[in-house]
Amino acid sequence: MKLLRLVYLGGLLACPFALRAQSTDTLQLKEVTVLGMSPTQYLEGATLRKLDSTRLENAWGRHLGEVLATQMPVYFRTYGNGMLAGISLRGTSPQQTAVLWNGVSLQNLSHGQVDFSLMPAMAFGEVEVVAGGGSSLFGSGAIGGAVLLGSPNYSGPMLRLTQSVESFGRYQSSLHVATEHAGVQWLSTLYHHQAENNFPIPGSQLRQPHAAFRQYGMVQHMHTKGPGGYALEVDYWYHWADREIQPVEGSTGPGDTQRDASHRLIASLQKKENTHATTFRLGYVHDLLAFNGPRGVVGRWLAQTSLERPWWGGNLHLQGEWNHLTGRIPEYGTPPPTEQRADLALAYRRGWGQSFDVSFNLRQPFVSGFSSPMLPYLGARWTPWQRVGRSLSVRGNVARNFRAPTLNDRYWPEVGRLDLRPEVSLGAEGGLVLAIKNHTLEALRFWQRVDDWIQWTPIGNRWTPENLRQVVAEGWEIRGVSNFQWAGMRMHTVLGYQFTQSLITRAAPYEQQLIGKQLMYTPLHSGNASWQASWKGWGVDTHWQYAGKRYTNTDNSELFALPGFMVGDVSVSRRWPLCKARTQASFQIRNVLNHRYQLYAGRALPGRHYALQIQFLLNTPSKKP
Amino acid sequence: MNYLPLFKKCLWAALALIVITACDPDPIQSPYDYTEGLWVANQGAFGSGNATVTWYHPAINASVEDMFSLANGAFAGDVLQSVTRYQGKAYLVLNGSNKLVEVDPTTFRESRVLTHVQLDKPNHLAVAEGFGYLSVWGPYDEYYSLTDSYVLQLDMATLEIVKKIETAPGVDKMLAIGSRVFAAVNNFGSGNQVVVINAADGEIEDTLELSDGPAAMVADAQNKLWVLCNGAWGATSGKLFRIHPVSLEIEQEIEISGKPGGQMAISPSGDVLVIRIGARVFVVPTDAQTLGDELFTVPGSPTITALGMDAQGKIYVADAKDYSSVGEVLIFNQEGTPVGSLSTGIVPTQILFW
Repeated sequence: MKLLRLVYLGGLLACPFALRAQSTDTLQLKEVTVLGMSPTQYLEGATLRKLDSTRLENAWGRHLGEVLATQMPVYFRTYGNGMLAGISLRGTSPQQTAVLWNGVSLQNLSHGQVDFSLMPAMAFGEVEVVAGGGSSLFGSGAIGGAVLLGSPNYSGPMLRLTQSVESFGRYQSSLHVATEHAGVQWLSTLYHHQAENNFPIPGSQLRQPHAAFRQYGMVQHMHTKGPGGYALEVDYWYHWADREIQPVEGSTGPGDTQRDASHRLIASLQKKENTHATTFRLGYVHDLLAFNGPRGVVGRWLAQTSLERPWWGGNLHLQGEWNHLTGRIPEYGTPPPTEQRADLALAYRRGWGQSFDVSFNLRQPFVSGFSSPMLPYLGARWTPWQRVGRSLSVRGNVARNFRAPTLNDRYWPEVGRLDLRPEVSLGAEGGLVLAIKNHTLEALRFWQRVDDWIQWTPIGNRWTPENLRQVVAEGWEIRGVSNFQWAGMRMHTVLGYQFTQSLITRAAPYEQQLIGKQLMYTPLHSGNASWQASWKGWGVDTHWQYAGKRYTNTDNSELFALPGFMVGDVSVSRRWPLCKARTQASFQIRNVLNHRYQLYAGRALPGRHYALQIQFLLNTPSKKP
Repeated sequence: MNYLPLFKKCLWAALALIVITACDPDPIQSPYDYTEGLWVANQGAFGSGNATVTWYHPAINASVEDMFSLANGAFAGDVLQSVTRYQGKAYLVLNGSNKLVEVDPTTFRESRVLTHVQLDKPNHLAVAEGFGYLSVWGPYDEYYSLTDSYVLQLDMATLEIVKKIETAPGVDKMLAIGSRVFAAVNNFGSGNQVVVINAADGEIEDTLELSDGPAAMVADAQNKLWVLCNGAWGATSGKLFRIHPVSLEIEQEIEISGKPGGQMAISPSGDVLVIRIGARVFVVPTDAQTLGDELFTVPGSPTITALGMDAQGKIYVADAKDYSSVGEVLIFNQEGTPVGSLSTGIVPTQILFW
């Protein structure tokens, strides 16, 4: 038996030589370079999570944060139902995740965050999350990762009308229309969302006061191809929101209100030739925020140009970007502060056969007023074992990332500091991916150290931003995805778990007691699970989110910690044809266990509640090529 | 292999987990007598609804992190501004939650709650002649300036609002001496008034114009009113006034070189004041003509938010640290030597002795 094993092992070891011997008879195919790669293809070895488009279509009037929380281990600091939601990815703060829409950063440059409650899921066609640093590609803010958003991307003719009615006077309507005329594709999305939001506060006899909101907006996408390899794309997104700020549980009396209005416009002209592709983009982003009246506007003009071409057996992408910022915030005074930000970047990716891919990126940001670090990225994926329907891959990357101080950090009257340094991080991750037929199992380990963490602290009577702390965020993640078909039934299962330890490792002399403490609102344990099944027009869908105990103050007091929770939704849907149209009706039970939980201390969230959604689709849409 | 038993076990375990995690903890009966020792009122983190009241008994070195949540199963609310004791009850003024909560001080069980649209950022409560006088900031305008501040007269028997007494913007600290209630108008340092209210009918009797920023008031052993003014924004000096509570004459005015903090305490015997400039702590006899030298300097870089002195002359200094960590009360003896400390809730803002 032992001899047999030795023979078998010897055979295995001899295989590569045997295969190599055969290679002389093999026809060598020249590698074909594909131009117009998506940015994430230059992040070889990184963790990428693409949100299932079906999940987006059936998002039930949810905002993007609510959808992402059930799809991957990510935590949102949510200040109430439908209120401000800031993402916390891999143990970092909401300011440390970049959010890009069609390649344009959406981070509010005055406070540095993106409010996911202002991002209705139906406004997007593609959502991809890059977990871990990505500043070499996405610039400032991509320390915890990046969320990449694209406009809805159906080609016409198509019409989809969705209406949902939910508990607590919540209504959401959306209309998608795609047409094509004279070689120009148009896709229009209109949406409206409002809620009384007066839900019974779990564990109390009271109903939530002062939490109503209303949002509406439109997304317009235009795409045309001209002669000579030219293509023009224009995307415009307008979003308007007016809301009462949900007060702390048990509070009464007059409350705060907030109004947001954003315009985002990006025009892109691309010329594709056999040997290279060049792109030129112009854009404007206008963010208005009015809290209890006074209006602050941050405006940004941007221009980007890029060249992509084959080089040294791979793809090379060169990019230049310029941003001009103006912060018209009443507190900043006049004249409003302006900043120039520019970036030069290169990205290179090369594959050796089908088993080894490497990417290397380098970015040098320039921000008026301080020097920014150079941001390299090196990542690779190796697939040492590959058979029909089976493979085992090893992947990993190491990267340097950064976040520029916000306009508030630099220009807030009397306390803003122009001498603040940017936050800079060094991160690495590595993992294994095992794929067997339609099932994938992934395990990874990540580590990141963030230096010069900017913190507002009281100095005397004034809160002042300072480069105070160093934080090390590390952990591991395991994720399984299974697609299974049986007797005409299709099932899709996702299970994910993440352990995240995000500790303060260096602090100012007067806050040494914080060293070794876990960051606030960063659960050690988080997870998600979802299961979808469809059979003959029927569908069952359930999503679950788990987050362990979260500390709500810097020194990890148990008294103020929020207990762990597990919440889930269950829905049943039925789809049937109606003339040339397809109609789908769905019923959902949310927080099915009626769990009392909070995502931010003191802000109530509803118990069990219900939603009904009807969708009418004329002509089956086909995705853009 | 038969997987059914294992499947059943897993199902029961999952069910048990759901039941356990779905339960809310019940309130707990404390073994301590809260009417001994001292209380520390803690604001909590702004906007997080986690105000607490810490109890500490120095003689037995026992403490309770939060009497309120222990007794009631939840935090009192958002931004506890002050606690006032009156006739066997304690009243918690919650500035962020816009409510006044009455508790039994022996158990800290909540007994009554006052909420009303007129409670828009309430601050401090003083009680005299059976009426409570509650200072209320009122709304901000669009530039976060206060425009409509007032004092609410409350019937303490019914806990109902009787009357609204208009004041200048920014009315804050309240103090009852005899049949008068004194209301300090601070308005972030730009106010300079102390409003004198007749406690019996709620009418304004007089308005004293002192110096910028009346920030703290105490009554001494002779029932004289002491007012600490810590100056406007950016000021480099302050003033300490002694006022006769009946004639309302300013009897003494002490210049303070350096901007004092907005806290002042008085010994239980009423003959020694405690104030601070930065981290320097001064102990000032009520018959002193000047501030004198500091007794000691609090080590480190404390964020001092409350002061106190017990019957043994020990001085208590509350440190809010970064306004997000739990705070600490540092205890010093009469010579200014540290003799102990006490962990509190977030942002300790008032120290009360029994």
